[in-house]
Amino acid sequence: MGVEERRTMQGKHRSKNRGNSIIKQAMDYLPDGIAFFSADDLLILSNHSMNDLVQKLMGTDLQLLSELKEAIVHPDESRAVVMEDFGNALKFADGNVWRFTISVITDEEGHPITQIVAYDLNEQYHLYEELQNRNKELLKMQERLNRVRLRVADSVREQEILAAKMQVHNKMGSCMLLLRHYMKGDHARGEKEQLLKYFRLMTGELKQEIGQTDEPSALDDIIRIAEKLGLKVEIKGSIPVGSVIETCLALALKECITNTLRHAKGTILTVTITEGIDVAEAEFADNGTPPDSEIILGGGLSSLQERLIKTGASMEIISKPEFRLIIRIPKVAETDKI
Amino acid sequence: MINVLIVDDERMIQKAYQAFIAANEDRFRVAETIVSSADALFACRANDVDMILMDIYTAGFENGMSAAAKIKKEFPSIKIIITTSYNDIRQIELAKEYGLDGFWFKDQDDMELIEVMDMVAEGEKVFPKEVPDVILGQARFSELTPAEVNVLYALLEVTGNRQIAQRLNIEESTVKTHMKRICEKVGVNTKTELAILAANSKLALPKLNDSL
Repeated sequence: MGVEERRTMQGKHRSKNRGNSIIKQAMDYLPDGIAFFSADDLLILSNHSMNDLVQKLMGTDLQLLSELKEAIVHPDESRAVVMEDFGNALKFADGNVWRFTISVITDEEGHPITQIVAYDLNEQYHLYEELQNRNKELLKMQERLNRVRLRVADSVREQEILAAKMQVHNKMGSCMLLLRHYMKGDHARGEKEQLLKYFRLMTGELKQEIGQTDEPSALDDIIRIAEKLGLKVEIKGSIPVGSVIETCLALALKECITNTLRHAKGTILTVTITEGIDVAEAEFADNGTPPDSEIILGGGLSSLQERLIKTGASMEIISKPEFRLIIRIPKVAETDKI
Repeated sequence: MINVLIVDDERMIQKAYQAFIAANEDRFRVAETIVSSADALFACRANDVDMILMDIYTAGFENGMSAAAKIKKEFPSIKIIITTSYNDIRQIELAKEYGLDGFWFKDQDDMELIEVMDMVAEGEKVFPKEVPDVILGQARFSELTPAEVNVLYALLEVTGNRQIAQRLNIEESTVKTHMKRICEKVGVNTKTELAILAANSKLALPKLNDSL
């Protein structure tokens, strides 16, 4: 190599080094952290920001890609935590939040170079935190509102009952007034009939009052209607307390009544209820004609299944030797399903 | 004779209705009384029903309004009167939309229920001429503009301004403006107070099931 050629090469080297130095300086000005690694895991270049982050994350200088990757995925929890609900960004002990991304680029000779970039997400994170707090407040407000609405529903019910009681008692008051007139003998023509009518109503009310001790229930209604349709419903076992259980039983009972009347042409539907610690089970069977073939879910039975699943219950259909429907209802807290 | 199906989950109210009907036994008789609107269609299939007195909020959180709509489709000739203690004016529009025949506010209707039943039996559609003017803090409900009423009802469903805006298809800033004006009219400082006040005024029904 001649003197002139050597000078040219040295010039090229100086020029290349100067270029690298300029690139490094420029990278150091970047607010984001950036680092490049060779295919054999070694650090090629990193900027100040990345070096500072790595010190905070690992407590050592940046050297190997594998170490950095491991620290990003499984950081020492005293130094940083992975925020899974914020795109796996890292929240450092000083409260700052950074997201690390990894990509592979190639140099001009086609060698793979791994690039790691760390983005400052503090502003976005604070907005996210603010949004989370507001959402929490909204959720609290919604829960409070729901409680108020349920309380209002109870108070509406009480007001309705009071108004209805007043109306029934007004009728009784009219009856007493008419009776007084009647006793005094100053009754007008036609008042006697009115009096008797009121008396019938009043005694009817009193009889009902004495005879009915429980609140009316949907199950009682369905059983009464079935009897009108010529189907006797026999319940074996006691009905567990709870509106979810009662709703499930009522749904299944209606479906079985319809099927017994329409397909099996039965006259008695037997419901056997057994109660476990966590589950109540009800088995429905009728005295009608057994199905010719396996019962395929469809129509009413499908809707029943859907509705039962929504409340956490399950359903089983047995076609042979006779039709049986079994539902299993978990005994959960009532408020869970409302 | 008009055969009436009573759908209400309170025994005293059932009794009051039964008493009205018994007092007018020349025109009406009780076909059946049930507690849940989810069983109303079943009751209509089993009984000869000409008219239904349907509460909206029935046993098991079942929605009487949607049950009524379904019954009307299957039995168009059955006359259905909605009865409620809630001041939820949207329900009146829903009842009209579903082709129902009458609407009666249990607490504060100008007409007696039996009058409404007679008119409906004659083929008239009977809806309240005026809705109950609920007192809402320092204001009356009627003092709110239609847009403010919509925002108030949306607030009872979704609470967040952004969700309200999405639901009503308006800008979030518009929601905030309406909310501010409603709060000023009503005399409350926050939308939480507003929502609780509105809920306490029985302006909206709780969430109900449509299981019929």
